[in-house]
Amino acid sequence: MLGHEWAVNLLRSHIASGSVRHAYLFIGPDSVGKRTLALSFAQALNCEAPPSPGEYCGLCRACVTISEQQYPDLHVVEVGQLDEIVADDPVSNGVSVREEQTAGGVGEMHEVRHISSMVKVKQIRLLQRQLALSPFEGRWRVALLLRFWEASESAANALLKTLEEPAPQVVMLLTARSTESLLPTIVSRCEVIPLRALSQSELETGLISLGESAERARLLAGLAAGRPGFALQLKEDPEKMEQRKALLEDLFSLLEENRIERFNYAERFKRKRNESIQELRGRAIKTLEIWLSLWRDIMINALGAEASVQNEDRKTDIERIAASVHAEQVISTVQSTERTLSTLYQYANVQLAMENHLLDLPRITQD
Amino acid sequence: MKVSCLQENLARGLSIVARAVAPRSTLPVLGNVLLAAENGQLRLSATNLELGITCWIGAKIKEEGSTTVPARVFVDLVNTLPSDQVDMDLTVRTQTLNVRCGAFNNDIKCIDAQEFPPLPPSDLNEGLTLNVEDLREMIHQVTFAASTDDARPVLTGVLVDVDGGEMTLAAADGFRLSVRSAHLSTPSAGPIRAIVPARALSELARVISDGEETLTMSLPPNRGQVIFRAKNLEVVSQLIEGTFPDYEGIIPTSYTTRSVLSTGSFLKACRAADIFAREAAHSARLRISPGSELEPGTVEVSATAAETGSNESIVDGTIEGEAIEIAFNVRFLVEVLNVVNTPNVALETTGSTSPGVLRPVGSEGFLHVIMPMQLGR
Repeated sequence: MLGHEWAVNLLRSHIASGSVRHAYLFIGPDSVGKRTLALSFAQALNCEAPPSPGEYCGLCRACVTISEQQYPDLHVVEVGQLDEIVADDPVSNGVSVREEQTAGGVGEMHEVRHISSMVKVKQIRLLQRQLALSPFEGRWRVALLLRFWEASESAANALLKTLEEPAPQVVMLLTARSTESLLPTIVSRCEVIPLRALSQSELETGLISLGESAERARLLAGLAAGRPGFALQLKEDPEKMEQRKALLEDLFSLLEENRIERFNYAERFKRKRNESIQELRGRAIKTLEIWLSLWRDIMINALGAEASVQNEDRKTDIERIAASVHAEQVISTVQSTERTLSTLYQYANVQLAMENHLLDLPRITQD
Repeated sequence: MKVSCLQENLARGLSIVARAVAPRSTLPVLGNVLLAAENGQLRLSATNLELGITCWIGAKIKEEGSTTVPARVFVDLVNTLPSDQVDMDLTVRTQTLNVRCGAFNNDIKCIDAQEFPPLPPSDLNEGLTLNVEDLREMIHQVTFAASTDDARPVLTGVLVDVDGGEMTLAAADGFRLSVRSAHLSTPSAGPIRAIVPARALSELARVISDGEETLTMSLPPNRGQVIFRAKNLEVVSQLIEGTFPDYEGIIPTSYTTRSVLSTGSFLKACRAADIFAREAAHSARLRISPGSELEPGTVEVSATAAETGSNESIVDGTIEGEAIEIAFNVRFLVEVLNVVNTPNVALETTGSTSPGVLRPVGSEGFLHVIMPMQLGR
């Protein structure tokens, strides 16, 4: 586990002293380690051979299957599972065919798999049935409700009774971005464990201990902005770095292009084959996040601030753009990027949002 | 693993354990059936982590071993095979099961048996001996009254209460309560009190074969499970955690009207009323009038629905006590009368707002409490 020492120590002491709470709520930004911490906690609760109280061995059947989320007494609830669980339910039939109007105006038939964007009451009911039973092989039945702000209000309300007094052998673990994103009645029934982003040096040391070179650790830690999960993804998946590189190149060339080219780019940004709306939205959000991180660095550079740069490897580009764009324009671009991101979170049309955003980008003319 | 058995035995065994397969679970191995060749028998097991069913069938074992086969594929395949000897041979390295029968030759991709959740070891000679016929009747008389609402998990189960030589099953859903007790031929060593999911008991009643006379019930300490073991069959269920409500307090101790009716006629009248009551929240009205010296007492069962129409049927019976009008959910009445197996049934009532009690006449041990509905009109 990278970082979050105080949280780890707290949970460890709860197990060691036998005062495990019935419900914990892990709060923190994406990729900061909420799920990892929750799974480690579940391992510590059910480990067959803990080296010391509150620890887990990581080798026994329980530890291995929990980390794979395949443990009989671990019940994971998150968005999208429902479609498989209730596939034989005629109302929410898994696959439906609907006509899709593409941007070119040609009607195409797409097979669209409906993946719901919410945790549904049905999932909660199923969970309640499972939690009522005594544990199958472990000491505890653990419910892991991921990204619980995505639960529908009725699903959250359906959970209240269970969350208030679950059966004695049940521990409920919830994760969310913030307490404000949940019903106050949910938050008040849990012990809240807030996780903060790690410091640059903390994350750097952690990455070096995992075998990264000092230079790369610094770059990854900067890019991840304190989110270990994000840093590990970049570390494990070279393709992610390639994608980032391509997206940054896109931005650099777009800055020099006229409106027509920018519209063409937004046009190309439409849905690929077999890509769901959610996946497309995710791709757009990822793109803007990478661009936002670069604009942040440009802003810091343009204003001559002291803060450390996230995109360590792009220093020359940052300096170049900071020199050719007016500082106020940089600030307004950062704001515009943030605004576009928030509209995307609120389910704006992806292509429209991208077009709108690209129009707002400053233009650098080559001299 | 190398094993041979008869197609019909295999098909029968699979049809029993397939009821516990969980095809869409997050654990892929739960969609499989465990095959284990050991001790001169072939063991078939399936579990959905709530209910587990194991069945042993006679087989010729050439090499011991085990694997798990995808249930849907295997069941469909075995059912199409001719009635002949089935030879199965597992290639451990690739986890491929070769199934050969007559002119048919098939290879099925399997999942390692190590991934299958461990099932509890059990001993035929341990636990409480129960008569299969009696147990099946008890289960039928009780499980239908259990709740299907998972928001109150305790009520989705059946309370199994064994104290000395007496065993009681009870289930309630907030509107009705079914209690059945019986004497045990062999008293239990210690008291037992556990809540077993109603679904598991229904499955047990369904899968237990007619050939068996007795089975044993045991609750291993600290496992949270109940194990029902017959000679070639084992049903394991997780118990429901929690405390069953104190039901004895809601059983009325007295009555002002007691109506003894023919079970069959009363059931027919209720069925007819239900056709009309469907549109009216299943509410049917009973007008109970005591007879005179010359005429028998009557119970008039009636239901009205604005769209469908109305119905009245009269059932003769022996009525003691005051005349009374009371409304019940007639579907509940139909369900309980279906499991009363004496020719006559007694309905005990105390006013139109107090619960009614149904008891079979001439047979002790069963009673059903049912809450009245608004009389309306």
